[in-house]
Amino acid sequence: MSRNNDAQPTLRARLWARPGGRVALILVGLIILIALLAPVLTALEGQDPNTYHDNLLNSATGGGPNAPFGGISAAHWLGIEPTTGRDVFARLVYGARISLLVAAGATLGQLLLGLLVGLAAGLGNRWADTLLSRFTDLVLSFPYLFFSIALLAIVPQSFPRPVLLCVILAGLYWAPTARIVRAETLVLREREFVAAARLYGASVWRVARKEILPGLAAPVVTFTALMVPSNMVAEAGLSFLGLGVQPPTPSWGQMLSTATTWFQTDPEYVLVPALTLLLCVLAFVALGEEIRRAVDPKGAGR
Amino acid sequence: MTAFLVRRLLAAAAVLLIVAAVVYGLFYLMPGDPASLACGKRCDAAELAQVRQTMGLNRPVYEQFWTFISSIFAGHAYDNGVGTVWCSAPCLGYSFQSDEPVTQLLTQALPVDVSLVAGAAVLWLSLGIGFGLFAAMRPNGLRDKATTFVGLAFGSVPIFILALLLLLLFCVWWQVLPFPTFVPFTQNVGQWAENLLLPWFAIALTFAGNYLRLTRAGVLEALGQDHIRTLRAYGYTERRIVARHAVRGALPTVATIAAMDIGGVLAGAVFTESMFGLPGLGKLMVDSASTIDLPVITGVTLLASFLIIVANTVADLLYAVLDPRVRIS
Repeated sequence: MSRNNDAQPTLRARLWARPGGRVALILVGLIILIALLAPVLTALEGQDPNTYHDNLLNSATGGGPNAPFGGISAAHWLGIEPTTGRDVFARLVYGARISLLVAAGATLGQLLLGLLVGLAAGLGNRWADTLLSRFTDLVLSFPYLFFSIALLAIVPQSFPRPVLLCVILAGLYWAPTARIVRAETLVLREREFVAAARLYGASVWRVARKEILPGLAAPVVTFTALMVPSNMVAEAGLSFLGLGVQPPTPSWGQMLSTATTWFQTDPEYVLVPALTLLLCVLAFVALGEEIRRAVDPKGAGR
Repeated sequence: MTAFLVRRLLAAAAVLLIVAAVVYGLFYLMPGDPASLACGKRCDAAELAQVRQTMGLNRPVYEQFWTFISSIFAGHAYDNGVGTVWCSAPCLGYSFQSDEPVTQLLTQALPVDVSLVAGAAVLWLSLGIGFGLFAAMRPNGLRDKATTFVGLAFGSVPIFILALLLLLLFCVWWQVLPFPTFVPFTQNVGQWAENLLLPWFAIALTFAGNYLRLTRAGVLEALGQDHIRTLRAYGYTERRIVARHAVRGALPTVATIAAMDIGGVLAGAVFTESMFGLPGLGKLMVDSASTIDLPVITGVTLLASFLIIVANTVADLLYAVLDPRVRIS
């Protein structure tokens, strides 16, 4: 975007100029930093996500932590996991990596598929457009949650789950992006600069890349920014159901699902992953909202 | 209107048939043997061949699919190893793992989802429309900003987190409500409602924000129109103008989205049911996914698609009824 009109401030600058945007940027930056620094942070704590600490567990409560408040101590900053005694803080920061990786991978996949189908429908002839648009509508009417559950159940466990999650989420949820891209492309292709490029003999591929794509940036970035938190929730949800990321790989959703059996005796273990996920999702949603307002200042009041 | 209706219904039927083909194809042609999945680990080679025979897996694919589709209308006989079981008319296959026709499992689960959606929809509509009107009364005022923000915040909370926090607050810490179990409506209405109160709120709170936004936007758009100016000139109060006249501007969109959301929840509120332990379609789906009970997975996915497609069609028709301009296209 900034390539064409240097007079306008970049998206990041416009975000930074808004107080809400600044908070959202800092929060999201912090989350990414924590995920990147997971090994450093756990080393600082002196723990790792996979070591069992049986000696800290109370067999009388069925394996709950000995100490109160979920076993929070100087050695275990956020307590330990019931029945295994694994360090909650270490699993949490390593879980951030999975959460962000799947969210990023799935969003990227959705974006690429959406751009591909949308551009092809928008720039192709009437036949291609009808075919691709009908296909998009069809995919939109799939109950995608049920499809993802079914696919996760059927694909053999040997297939790495984070990759599978990305593929499934991308494969089932690219249709809204494709619709937006198609609609915007249909408007853009009638503009003079596209006609000019065509007259110069530019190929369809070149027109798509050099003339249409920059014009798509604003609406697509706005929509895609909000796909990140929804993919994050999808990964956590599917892992919560026991179908996503499998142990021993740490994931927030999977921590939540073990936590539900420890409601009564160890509420701390429920709250830590729940509130972490909540905070991350809200931070990304806030960033998405701020991007929307920064990109489209006219609609800001709405 | 009739032409529009017929066209929409035909389109819906076509989509449903395609979805059925995709679901069936995907699940039965996947690598991995459906026969050995269907009868689990208890099978020896002879039994496996038997099951393969019963499931018709040694016949061509299109024939298998045809049997699957025709048995929905005509029923089908299944050999479960002990004897022959007749799976009657809307037959969606037979679960060899639980020795029950899939249709029976589905009809056992459906009342839970009907109960869920009935209460939740009433709640989210009254919350959403109520606060939407409240926010539209003085646009961009403090209470507008506050309600819109709270609505958006609740809408962004993942439903399983909201459910978890509700359970923690009401059932563990304050202990004012029981851990939900499903009590059928016909058995005891009071207990039915008491047990479903938390699930209803969990669903309604995540949905209401969207309705708040739609109501607010629809009302604000209507407020700019000429007839409202006339009403203002008559000296009607703002409250009366918003609640009686401008609210109609929001009605088509709200009704349409409501129809789609109701279909979505009816098709299985997967997370709500898993979190609260309610034996609905969503729970059935997750359970059969963890035991890889293919016929049930296929059946639930198909029923869910059916409900969602029906809901989308109803939404389209509703929109056409409430906003006659749509019918032309």
